[in-house]
Amino acid sequence: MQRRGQFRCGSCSSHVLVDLYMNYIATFFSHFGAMRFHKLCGRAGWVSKPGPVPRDLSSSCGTCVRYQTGDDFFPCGEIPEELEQIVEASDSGYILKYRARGS
Amino acid sequence: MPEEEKLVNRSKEMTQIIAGGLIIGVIASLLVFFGNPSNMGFCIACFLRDTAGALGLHQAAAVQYIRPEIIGIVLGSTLLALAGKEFSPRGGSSPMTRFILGFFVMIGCLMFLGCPFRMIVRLAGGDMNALFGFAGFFLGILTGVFFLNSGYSLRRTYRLPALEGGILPVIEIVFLLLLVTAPAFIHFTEAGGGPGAKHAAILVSLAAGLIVGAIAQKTRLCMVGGIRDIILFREYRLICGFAAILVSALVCNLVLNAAIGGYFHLGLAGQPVAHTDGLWNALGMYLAGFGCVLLGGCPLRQLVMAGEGNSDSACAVIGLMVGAAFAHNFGLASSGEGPTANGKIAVVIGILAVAAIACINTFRREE
Repeated sequence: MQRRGQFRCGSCSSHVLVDLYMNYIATFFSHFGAMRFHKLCGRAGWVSKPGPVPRDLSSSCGTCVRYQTGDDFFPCGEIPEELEQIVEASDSGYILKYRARGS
Repeated sequence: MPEEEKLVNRSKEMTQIIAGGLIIGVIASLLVFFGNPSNMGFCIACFLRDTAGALGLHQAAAVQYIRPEIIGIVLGSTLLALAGKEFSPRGGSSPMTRFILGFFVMIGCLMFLGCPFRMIVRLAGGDMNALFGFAGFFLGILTGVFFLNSGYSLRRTYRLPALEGGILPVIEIVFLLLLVTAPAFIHFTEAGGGPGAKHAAILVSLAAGLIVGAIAQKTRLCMVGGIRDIILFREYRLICGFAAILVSALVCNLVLNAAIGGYFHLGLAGQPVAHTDGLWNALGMYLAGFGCVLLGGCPLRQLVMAGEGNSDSACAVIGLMVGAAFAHNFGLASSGEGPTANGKIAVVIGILAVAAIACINTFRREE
């Protein structure tokens, strides 16, 4: 059975009940970069949630943003400066979709 | 990734962190049994300070010894990172700022007489002065989190050649050789001369460090990260590791106390390598907590990340060592008799300096 979870929308602060299924995880060079990305997701109308980076994705202890969307995984078409990588969380594990140059 | 699998991963991660914390707590307690100073089975700040003294960076004869635990933590982290293909040489994220932050974190730690790790170890030994330290530490982390949420960033890291990430682990191997060969230019506290003379056998300490380094690499244990994640995300995984350290060290200390005596003494006065000035215990750890949030982790975490190849963390570690040398060369470090006047001035300067670094790297980004 699909779990359901409550999320706070980044743009209007209202709470929405959605299916809890995260397609993408973005990691960042700074916590604030993650929070900005979270807001961008809200502006794009995407459901997103910031949290600690999963251990099986990285040994880094920074902040990630989990979000769900279609094939276009950059919110509002922007590639923020603080974005380190984006992976798709699939049944077979993590699939790298984007990595910042030199990281 | 299916939701069920995510929950399984989360549960597995939590189990690993708690199990790791329990093991580390037992090790911290047993190291005292094997010869380390009381309530100092593990203290990253004290051990870096002792190592700095052994290298002649300060002349406090009571605290000079190359601590194998530090060597073990770095190498344990390196070995596990290499085995897990997680060794990642990187750096370039404001290294000098990290050096300065490391410097002042050490000034704060030596005002309190211990790093966040020893704060837990001291609590497990019944030292209630550590509660004042914890209060300051928590407030320091809150202050740091305020800046994180306001835009603080030391800018991005970059991939570096493997050699760059391997320098600190190689230096630790050199330290091990110096410890074993004990040449005349390395300083060792004479027997009965102070905390530096109290230590477990080299192999015991090294093994302990290797285990702790490997566990900390695997679980990302970090005292600062634990509290920071609770404030930011209501996420309790990391803090569970340190709660586990407290519980297991406490139980181990109580057992040893019942069997031998001298491992648990509840109260404020008469605690080993500690003073009873609550205000300066709190302010010292406030500085340490604030600085550590800006660094991205506690001193233990800096060692572990340096072991993974992060040269920015290596800069922070060098900053911690230089801070320790300054603290003892200029009378900034506290003693069992209390904080010094110079130390109080240094902590106030440290808080101002760390606040300035926070402001500059927060509001610059909003321009």
